[in-house]
Amino acid sequence: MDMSQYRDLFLSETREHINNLNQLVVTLEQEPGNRETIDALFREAHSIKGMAATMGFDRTAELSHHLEDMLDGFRATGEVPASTVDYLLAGIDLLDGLLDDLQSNKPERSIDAFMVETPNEEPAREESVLTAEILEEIPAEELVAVAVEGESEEITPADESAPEPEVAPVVKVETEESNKAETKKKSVKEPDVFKVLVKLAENTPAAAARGILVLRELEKSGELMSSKPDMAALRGGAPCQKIQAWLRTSLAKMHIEEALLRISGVVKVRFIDDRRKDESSGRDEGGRTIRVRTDLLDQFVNLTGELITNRYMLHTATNGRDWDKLTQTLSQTSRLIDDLHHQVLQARLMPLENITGRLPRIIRDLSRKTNKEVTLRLTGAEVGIDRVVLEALTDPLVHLVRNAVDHGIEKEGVVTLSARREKDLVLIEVADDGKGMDPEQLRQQAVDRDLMTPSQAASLSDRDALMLVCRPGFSTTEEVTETSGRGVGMDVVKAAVSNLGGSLDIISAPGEGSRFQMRLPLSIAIIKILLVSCAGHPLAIPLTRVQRTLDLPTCDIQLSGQKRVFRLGEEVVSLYSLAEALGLPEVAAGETTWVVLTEVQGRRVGLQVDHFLGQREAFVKALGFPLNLLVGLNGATVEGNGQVVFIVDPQALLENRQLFKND
Amino acid sequence: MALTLIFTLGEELYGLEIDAIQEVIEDPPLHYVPRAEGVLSGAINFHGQILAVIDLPSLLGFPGEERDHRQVVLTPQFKSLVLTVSAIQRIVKLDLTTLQPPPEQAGKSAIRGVAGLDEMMVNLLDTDEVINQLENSYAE
Repeated sequence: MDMSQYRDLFLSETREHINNLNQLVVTLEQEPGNRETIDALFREAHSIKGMAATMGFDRTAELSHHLEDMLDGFRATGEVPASTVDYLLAGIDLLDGLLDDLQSNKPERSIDAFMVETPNEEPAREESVLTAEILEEIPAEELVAVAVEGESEEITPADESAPEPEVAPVVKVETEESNKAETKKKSVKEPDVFKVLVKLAENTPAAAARGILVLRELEKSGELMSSKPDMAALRGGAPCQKIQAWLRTSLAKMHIEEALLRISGVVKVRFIDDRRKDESSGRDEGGRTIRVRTDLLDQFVNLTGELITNRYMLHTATNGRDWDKLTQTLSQTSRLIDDLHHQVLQARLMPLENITGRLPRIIRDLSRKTNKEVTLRLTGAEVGIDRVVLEALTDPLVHLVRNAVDHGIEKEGVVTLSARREKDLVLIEVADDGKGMDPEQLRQQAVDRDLMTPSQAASLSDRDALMLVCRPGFSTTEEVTETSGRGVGMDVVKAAVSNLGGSLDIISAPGEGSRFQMRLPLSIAIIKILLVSCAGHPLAIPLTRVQRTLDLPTCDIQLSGQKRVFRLGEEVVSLYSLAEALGLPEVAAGETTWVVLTEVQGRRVGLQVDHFLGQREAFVKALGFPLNLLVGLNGATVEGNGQVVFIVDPQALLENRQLFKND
Repeated sequence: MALTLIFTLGEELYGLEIDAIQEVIEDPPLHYVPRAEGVLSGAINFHGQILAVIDLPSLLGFPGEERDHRQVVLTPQFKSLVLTVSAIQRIVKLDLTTLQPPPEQAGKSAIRGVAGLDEMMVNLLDTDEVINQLENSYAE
């Protein structure tokens, strides 16, 4: 029997079981004698074992059997010893790793190391956990020594003193040990594959030599898969103003960029994510499953049935030229379509708890590592959100929670994750009751980092000052800790939220904790848009980006510091031209200037367009390569007449034009 | 023997296996793409998908204004890119087993190999390299 069609189902179901296992173990840690929880754990492991065995995934089956046996033992004693909790969690992580292997069609990783270990070997384990932690903190060259020290005793002094170990073995050790490291600690980052473009300054002397330095640096950062020109060509003195390389690494791009820019002559470093990976994830998209209640499916069937009947009624009415009947049937059809649309969207909604399930475990691990006592409170986990939005939210949410523990909470405190509907939007808030953020300190930091002049910083409202943490490279911790403070983070969160057509707000004050609020559309497949025309081209702006529209008498626009501004109540608002931002010819405004009021970097701005063409609901089509690389384009929609209209994000357009640089 | 679409880029003769082609379309309405410049000449609505139209002669640095009104839609494997070429000629059978290596590649060429066709030489288009160069041009 061909099992491959069941593979996706197996994977998605087993991930759910693993999610449950994680939550149950964390619950159990708090109440070790809770029989119901132990029983539930046993059942989860049992289910995985059964399914894996049927599918013929031997190691997954063996491991889940092992866990099941252990849990069965605890069922008998009625208690889970505290010392075994870590072992259980490590086992669950290993299961997760096995699923990763199966998902990417790799052979299942080895579980021998885990199986021979027993939960009682506590000291040995502590050591290896420590090793994994150290592994992350130190540069690759030192990895070999530490990894070998931690994992085996066979190392000879000669090896230790070996000068600069060769690069290739480093990578090898890392991957070979990674099974074990991953078992202990999931947060060891999976290596990514991407393309690196390095540009050398024009007329750099000894370009080839510098190119070799670049390749050497890349080799240090990970596995250099290929490059153009390659080492041999460079040794032969090939010209190289640009170097293109494929790299597999688990290091953050920022660190690699920093290291490369230190090589003299290097002027530009760019990263391009592996498009081959994009393709595979595109395939996954097709195979991903979602559970739909049967009564919802029945409604689909009913509605489509009615639509079919309606089609015949339309035929009859057209043939008999019965206009009344035609009008009546058309309005019925449009009601049915609205209904169907609503139901289909319902099917795409998934409860938030699908992604909050991991959080208790993350909080537990974090509070241990940071020696803080952190409680997680979840409310509104049942709120439904579009599957696509939900998936894109997973990482930002984890990041916000980590930040809350790392930066917000000092010794002990509560992290609250709450969600609720607000009209067409979902509000998701991550709040902590920690030390809060000081706008004054942030202003100072912005000045210290040369992001703005003291007077510019002073003119920032508190709200805008708090938003500074979302600037790329702006981090409030001096030290880089393992979990946060790497300078990548809040900007990524903000970008993810913006990409979904949502907005991010930060509310905080010293001593009053911090609240990060994300407002997101329920669905991104169908959104409300404002159609405008700009130099003769129709363009769409998501309505979530529009505060309001204005018909401004052109004479009310004034110049201030060579910038166009206008008054809105008490406020002076800057006016930008959409045509200019898009590089289109400007159409001179008549007596009235049509303005879309929007927000960029937390401040209100006006965007001049030629005309408003109305509001409507639009089905958003995702953009493929290379349209997806254009900054400021969120998607496209097709009008009734076949016209393709692109959806632009005014914020991204204006930020990218750097119109704000000199503000 | 592989069926190959023969077309020109500037003065040069190029070939693309039809396995890489989804469709050749005639004069589709070209839609404005905000901020598109240079090689991205617009987008078309191809059976409900929004696809980017790439001007191949400009991407690869060929001179000349001549453009065929027909466009070549690549398969999803090649990102369903839509390519404009100088002139589409015909479909021929080419022996791809005896490809000659392309001449020393300098600059922006995208040639996978050279095949003989009657008295002439056909440069086989390296589609991966086309995508690669597009990626690079957007990263800068």
